Amino acid sequence: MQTDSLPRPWRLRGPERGAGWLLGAALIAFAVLLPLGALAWQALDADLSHWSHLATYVLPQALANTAMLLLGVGILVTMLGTGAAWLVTAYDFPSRRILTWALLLPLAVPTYIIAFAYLDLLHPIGPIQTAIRTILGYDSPRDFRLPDLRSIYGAIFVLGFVLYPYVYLSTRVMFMTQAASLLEAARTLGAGKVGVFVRVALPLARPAIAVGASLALLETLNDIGASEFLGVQTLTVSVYTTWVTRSDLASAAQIALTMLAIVVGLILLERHGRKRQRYANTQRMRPMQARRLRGGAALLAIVLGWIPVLLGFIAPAWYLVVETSKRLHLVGGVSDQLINGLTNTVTVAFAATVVTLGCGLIVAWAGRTLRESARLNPGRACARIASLGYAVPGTVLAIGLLMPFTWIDRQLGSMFGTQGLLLMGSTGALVCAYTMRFLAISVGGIEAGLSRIPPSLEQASRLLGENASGTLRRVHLPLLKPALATAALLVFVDTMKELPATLLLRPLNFETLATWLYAEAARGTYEEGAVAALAIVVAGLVPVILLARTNLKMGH
Amino acid sequence: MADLLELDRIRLAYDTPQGLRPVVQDLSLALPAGHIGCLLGQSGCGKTTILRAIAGFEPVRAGHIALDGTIISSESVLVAPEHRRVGMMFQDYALFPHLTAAENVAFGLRKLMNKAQRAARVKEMLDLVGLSAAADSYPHEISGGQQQRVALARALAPSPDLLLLDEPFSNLDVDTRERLAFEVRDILKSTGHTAILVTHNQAEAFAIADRIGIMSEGKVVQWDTPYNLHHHPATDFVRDFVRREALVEQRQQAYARGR
Repeated sequence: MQTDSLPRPWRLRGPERGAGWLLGAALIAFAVLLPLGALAWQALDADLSHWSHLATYVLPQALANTAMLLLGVGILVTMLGTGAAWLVTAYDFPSRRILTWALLLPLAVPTYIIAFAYLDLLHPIGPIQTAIRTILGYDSPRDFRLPDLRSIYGAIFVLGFVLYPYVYLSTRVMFMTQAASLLEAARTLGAGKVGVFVRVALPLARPAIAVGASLALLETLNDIGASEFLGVQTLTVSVYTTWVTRSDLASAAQIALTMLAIVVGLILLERHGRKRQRYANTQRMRPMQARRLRGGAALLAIVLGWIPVLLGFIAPAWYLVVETSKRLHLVGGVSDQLINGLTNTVTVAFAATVVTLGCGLIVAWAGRTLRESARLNPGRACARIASLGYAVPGTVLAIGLLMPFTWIDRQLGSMFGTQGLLLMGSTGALVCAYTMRFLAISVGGIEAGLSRIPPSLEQASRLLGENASGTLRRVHLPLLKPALATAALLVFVDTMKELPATLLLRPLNFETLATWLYAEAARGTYEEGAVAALAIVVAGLVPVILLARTNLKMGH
Repeated sequence: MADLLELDRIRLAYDTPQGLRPVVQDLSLALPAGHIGCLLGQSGCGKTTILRAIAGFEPVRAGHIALDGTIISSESVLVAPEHRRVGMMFQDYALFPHLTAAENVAFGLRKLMNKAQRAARVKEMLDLVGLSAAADSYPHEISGGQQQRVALARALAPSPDLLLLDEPFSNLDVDTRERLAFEVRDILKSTGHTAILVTHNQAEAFAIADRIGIMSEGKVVQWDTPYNLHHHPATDFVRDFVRREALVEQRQQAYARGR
């Protein structure tokens, strides 16, 4: 065989891993830290007279409201989520299989939409209260009315019923994989049905509850629509009004920094839970045998199981469908503004998805390791930092980005001699904010996809003459297609639903479906809000279906 | 004959939170061009780490590795794997699941030749391993033994200076393993390739290799020809290790009959 005729590539000294990828990942990680740094700078830079004003008039009330809201939502989601997970795991009754995934449906309803729907549903002259009055024989709202939804209790109620699936999901997986033999052991030791739940299942589920509840509470902290519609002055709402109505960036930054402290607490709670969860996960056990219920017990289980689905999804979704069809019959179509809002939403969500996936790919690829012996992996450290944005409330992120973006706009302006605001005046700022907020989804998804590709494939490719980039293009990208598609879908839908950062960073007169809905609800003009809300909920159903298929498979 | 591969007093270590954990200390060996060498030892003795160091996936903490007179790894040099002209056959074969057998073999040829030359070379390599019929099959459609031949063809296609084989037969059943080990030796000898094999299986090592290194705890106890290992073991460890001589010769005869 003629081996001499083959050309020899140059022998080059090269780094083991493409240094360019690492540099890219480091830049992305830096960009994610930038708003947090800017926030601290802004908050500390301000003179303290602002602070004393804040500390006296704004913070105490907002802090108390937020604490109350977090506590209430935390208790409600833990009860609903753990209870529902136990019900569908330990008992078998008609409709259990449907219920197992139906319990996830409220995840498709953003907090501001459920608040929007219930405000109208529970209005004193709305359908529910009218029906109750008819049944009880009262004539007018003056004689009988339910307590006003616009209170902290109303906010706890609506947030709890859409956020409990986080706890349901984590505890359900825990009950399915861990519980069987331990519970059976408890039964043989004489513990009753209730005793098994309280003494064995609940303590076992504690780490899972911590993980699920901390995610639900991060969402609660992120929420701006529901609290605003229901008139609860939370920290998030305070940040927004301090900046938008008082143009006081320093104070807004100070409140935002307070929120970050709470975020850090919640992240620590989640990490703690995950650590203990991993510890428990090492023993793989078979799923437990569900007890078959009959008669009254089965009926009770059906009622209890379906209440969260009914209140968290069916009622608001049904309301939106009815209102939308009424609107379409009445007007015979939708307004140009709404079409415009839809176009804006899809365009900006598409751009954000592309950028988020690209950045996620750079970060995840830089974080993989060719060396088994390496202890410190700078790429993986970048990936962890770049994923921090998921925990930062949208309002906090937006406030943190205002200063760097304004600075960049000024630099670009003086460089090119233009007056326009390149970032803040366009959707560029929005796309950046979405990318930072949702980068964790794409990094996590791509990392999971990479971990399923044996490392020997990359080694083989490198030894066959491909460098890191060529290996990514020729080997890993084709194999990552399913992971990329899933990540793209999740990012797209989350971007569509995003409200708090969009409100602060959108250009003038730029409306997305979410901001359109917010404006209508804030004005109290319920015209086409339901149409926009329905569009968001329908889009939100797609990731829920994906989630149900991947996470609850074991139940069938 | 000049030595193609030279490992000169190399030290390999893993980073751990407690500091560097040494895996291989002060290891030296040399392999002449056209020879097949073998590192033989129990799992955990560091033999795979040596292979990864030769491939360029692990840095050398002291000493150096030279290929054809050029230093490719030392304390200050780490030539990237793609520039080493070293081929490797992996324990799990590492075939690209989205590419056919022919496309797998062609993978490393893209930067070396044009399309027509590539097609000719792929055909030549698949003929060499006797798999022309499976050219358009995907890895999951062919048997383990066939996958292994594709992996061999793919590693040899760019004509590497040195071929590394990491436990190449461990995933096969016993019958296939003996036949293939013998075939691989024939193919390597016919093309004149230099190769290093890593295994824990004595029969395999003695059947294939011209030089064998008996490894223990990160050291090569003796680096010698199979004949010398049998008849002039350097230490008691080596003598105990190769004591079941009769069995080994029996195996060798079985291989020879297969020829």
